[in-house]
Amino acid sequence: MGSARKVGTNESIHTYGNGTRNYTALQTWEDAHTINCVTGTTSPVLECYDDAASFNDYVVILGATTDATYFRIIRPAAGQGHDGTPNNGVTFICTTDTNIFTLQEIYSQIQDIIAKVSIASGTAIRYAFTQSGSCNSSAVVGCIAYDCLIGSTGTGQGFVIAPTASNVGFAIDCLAHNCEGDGFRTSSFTTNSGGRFYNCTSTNNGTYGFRMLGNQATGVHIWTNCLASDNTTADFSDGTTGSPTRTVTYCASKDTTADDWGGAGNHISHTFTFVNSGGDDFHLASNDAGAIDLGTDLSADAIYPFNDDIDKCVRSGSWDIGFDEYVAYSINAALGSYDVSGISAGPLANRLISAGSGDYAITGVQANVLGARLLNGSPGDYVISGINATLARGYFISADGGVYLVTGSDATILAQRFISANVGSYLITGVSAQILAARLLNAELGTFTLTGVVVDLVHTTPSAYVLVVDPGSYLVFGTNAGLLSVRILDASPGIYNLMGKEVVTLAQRILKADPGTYVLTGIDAELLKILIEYFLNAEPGEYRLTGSVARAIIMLNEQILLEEIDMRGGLTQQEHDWLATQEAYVHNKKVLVKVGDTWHFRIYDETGVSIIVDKKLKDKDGNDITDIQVGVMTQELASTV
Amino acid sequence: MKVSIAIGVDSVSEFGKDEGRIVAVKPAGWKWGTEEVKQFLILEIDLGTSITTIEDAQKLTVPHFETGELWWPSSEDKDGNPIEPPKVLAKRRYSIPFADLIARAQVLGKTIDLAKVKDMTVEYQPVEKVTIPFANMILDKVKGAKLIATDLVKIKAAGK
Repeated sequence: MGSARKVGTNESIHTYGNGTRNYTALQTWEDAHTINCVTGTTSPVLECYDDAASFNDYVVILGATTDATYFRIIRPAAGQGHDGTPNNGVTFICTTDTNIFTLQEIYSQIQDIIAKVSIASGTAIRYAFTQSGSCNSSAVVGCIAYDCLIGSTGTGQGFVIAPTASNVGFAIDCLAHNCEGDGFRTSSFTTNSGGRFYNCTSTNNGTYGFRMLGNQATGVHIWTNCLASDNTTADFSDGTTGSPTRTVTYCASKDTTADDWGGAGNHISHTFTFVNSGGDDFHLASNDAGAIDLGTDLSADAIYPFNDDIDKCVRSGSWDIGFDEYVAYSINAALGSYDVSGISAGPLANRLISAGSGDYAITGVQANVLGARLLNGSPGDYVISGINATLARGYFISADGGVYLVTGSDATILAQRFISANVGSYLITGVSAQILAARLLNAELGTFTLTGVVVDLVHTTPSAYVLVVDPGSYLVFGTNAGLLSVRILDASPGIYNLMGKEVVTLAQRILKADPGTYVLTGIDAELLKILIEYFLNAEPGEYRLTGSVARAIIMLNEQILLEEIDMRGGLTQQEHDWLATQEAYVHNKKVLVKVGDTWHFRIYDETGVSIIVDKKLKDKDGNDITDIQVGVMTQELASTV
Repeated sequence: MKVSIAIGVDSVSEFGKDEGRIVAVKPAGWKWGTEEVKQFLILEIDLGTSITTIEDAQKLTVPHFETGELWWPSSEDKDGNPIEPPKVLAKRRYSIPFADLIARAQVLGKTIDLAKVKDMTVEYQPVEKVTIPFANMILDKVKGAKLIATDLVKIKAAGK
C-alpha cells in the first residue's frame, strides 16, 4: 500500500515539453516506446515540463507489452505538477477532434495531468481522459479535466472508463469540473468490463457528475468515496440496462442521488464547503461538513489499495470523500519533503509555501518546494526564522503590503530585487528602512548583507549611484541625510570624507541638490577654484561648513567707482604684493565713500565699527575730489596715513 | 498548407510499426525534440489547399483500423450508447515509402542516406528544410494507393 501513483520497475525516463526536451509530441514518445516492456524489463516514463501555458496535443497509448511490473507512465516532472486546481501545472488543451489521453494498454498510467477538450466544431463525444479497449488495471490518477467543450453537436466530457471484456480500469483522486457533458462515466458494453472511481470529485458539469452506462449484467460500476456537487442534470446517474451490479458506497451528493443504489455510507443533500470554488479550487475547506471524515479507508482495498489524495498528501484517520483529504497544513504544498519544525506560520490564505522549483532550507531543514513562490499569500504576518534560502528564480518575497520579519537571513540574490513590495514598513535584520516608494535596493546581481549595515553594490559604471532611491529617510553609514531630491552624492571625481567615511565620487559635484539644509561635518575638502564657479553649487539655501577656512579678496581696479567698498579680513603676502603692483596699499577696514559730491576716506577702529578717521579728499590744488584716479588716491592715502 | 511531419524509420511488425508511418503532424517550422530528431525523419510536406488547418492535417496520424475508419469514431452512438472502439491493425494508416521519398529528394537536389536515416542514435535530417508536395508521396495502407487531393477532402470531412 502506498501512493495511488504507481512507479514502474526500471523506469526509463524521457522528457516532454518544448524543443529543448526529448519529445515535443506525445505520439512520438508513444511510438518510440511501443515495445515489449516485459522482456525488455523496462518501464518507459514520459515526464512533462510546464514549458508552455498549455500543449495542444493528444495521444493513444496502445500496443506495448506491459504487465504489473513494467508499464508506461505519463506524468509531470518533479516540480511541474498542479496544485490540485486546473490553474497551474502541466496542461493539455487539445483542439483536434479526438480524446486527449487514451489508455488502451494494461497497467499503464496517466498521473497528475490537466486536460481540456476545446474543439471548435465536432459531432462526436470526446473526453479528456479515456480508458478503453484492453486497459485492465490501467489508471488515471490525480488528473483534472475542466471546461471541456465542443462546438456543433459534439460534447466535451471529463473521464470515461469503457473497456473491452474482462477489463476494468481505475480513476483515482481526479477532478472533473465544468465540462459540457458528464464529469465521469463507466461504460460496460462487454462482459465483466467497467471501471472503478475512487475518491473522485465532479463539480458543475453540464449533465451528470457520475454516470454509468452499458448493457451488461456483469458490468462493473464501482464508485467509492466520490463527491458530486452542482452538476446540472444530476450528481449521480444510472443509464445502464441489463441490471448490472452498481456498487456506490461512501459517496456524497449535493442533490439526492448518491444513495439511489443503496450501498453503505452514502450521503445526500449535503452542502460542501470548498476553499475557493469561484477560483476552481475544490479542496475541502476547514469548516466543510459535507465530506470531511465521511469516506471509507481504501488503504487496504483488495484491488487497488492506496493512501494519498490529489495533492499526494497521505490520507489518515477517517478518510474524506472526494479527491482531497483535508489537512490543517502548516505547509500546503505539492509533493516534497518538508520539515517545518520551529516555524511559526500564520498564513491567512492560500499557502505558506508555494514556490518555484528549487531547494529551500527552512529552519535548517531541506525542503523541495514545487510551486511558484516562497511566499505568495494574502497580507498577513509571516515569521520565518533562520532562513538560508537560495532562490532559483523569481522573487524572494513578492507580497502585498504588510509587515514581514525575516531574521537571520543571508540571501544571495540571483535575480532582480531583494524586495519588490508595495509601500510599507519592512524590518530587515534589525535595520529599519522606511520605504516610501518602490524599492529599497534596485541593484544588479550581487550579494547583499543588510546587517548593521554594509551594502556592497556591484554596479560598476562610473555614472552609477550608491543609492538611487525615492524621497525618504535612509540610514547610510550612520549619516543622517535628509534628501529632498534625487541624489545623495553626485560629485566630481575625488575623495570626500563624510563623517569619517571616505567616499570616492565619480561624477560632477559634491552637492547638487534642491533647496534644503545640509550638514557636512568634518569635511576636509580641497577646493581648487574658489574664485570662479562654485564651492557649493547649490540652489539658494543655508550651508554650514564646519572647520573650513575661507578668504575673500576684492580687487581694486576700475570698480573702485562703486559707492562703497567693504573689505574684511587680512591679506596674504601674495595678495599684498599684488595690490602693491596696483599702486594701492590698504590695511584693515577702510572705506572710500562719496558724501554728496565729495569723496571721503574713512578709517575704522580694530573692531571695524567706529570711525576713527574721516577725511574729505582733496587734490593738490586743495579742491574737493569729485572724480577719482588711482594715483591721486594713493597720494592721499599715503599722506593721510 | 505546409506541415512538419515525423515519420517512423523502423519497422516492427509485432507492434504494428511500418517504415515511413506518419507518427505526428505539427505546424510547419516546428522545433522537434532532441530524441525526435534522432528517432524519426522530419519532413515538411505541402498538403495543398484541400486541408487548411492543423487539426485536419493531424488526421494523417489515424491508426489503421480494421473497419477502415478515416478518423477516431465517437465513443458513443447518437443515443448515448457506448461503441466499442474499432480494432487497430497497425499504429498508422498513412505512410511515406522511403523509396519514393529518396527519389523525390533527388529531384529536389537532396540526397538521403538511408543507412543514416535508420540509425536512431544520431541526428540526421537531410530534408527537414525542403518542402515536398504531398502528391504521389503519402500511401494509404487501406486503399493501397497514394493520396490525391480528393482523398484529402474526405480526410478533412471525417468526423464532421
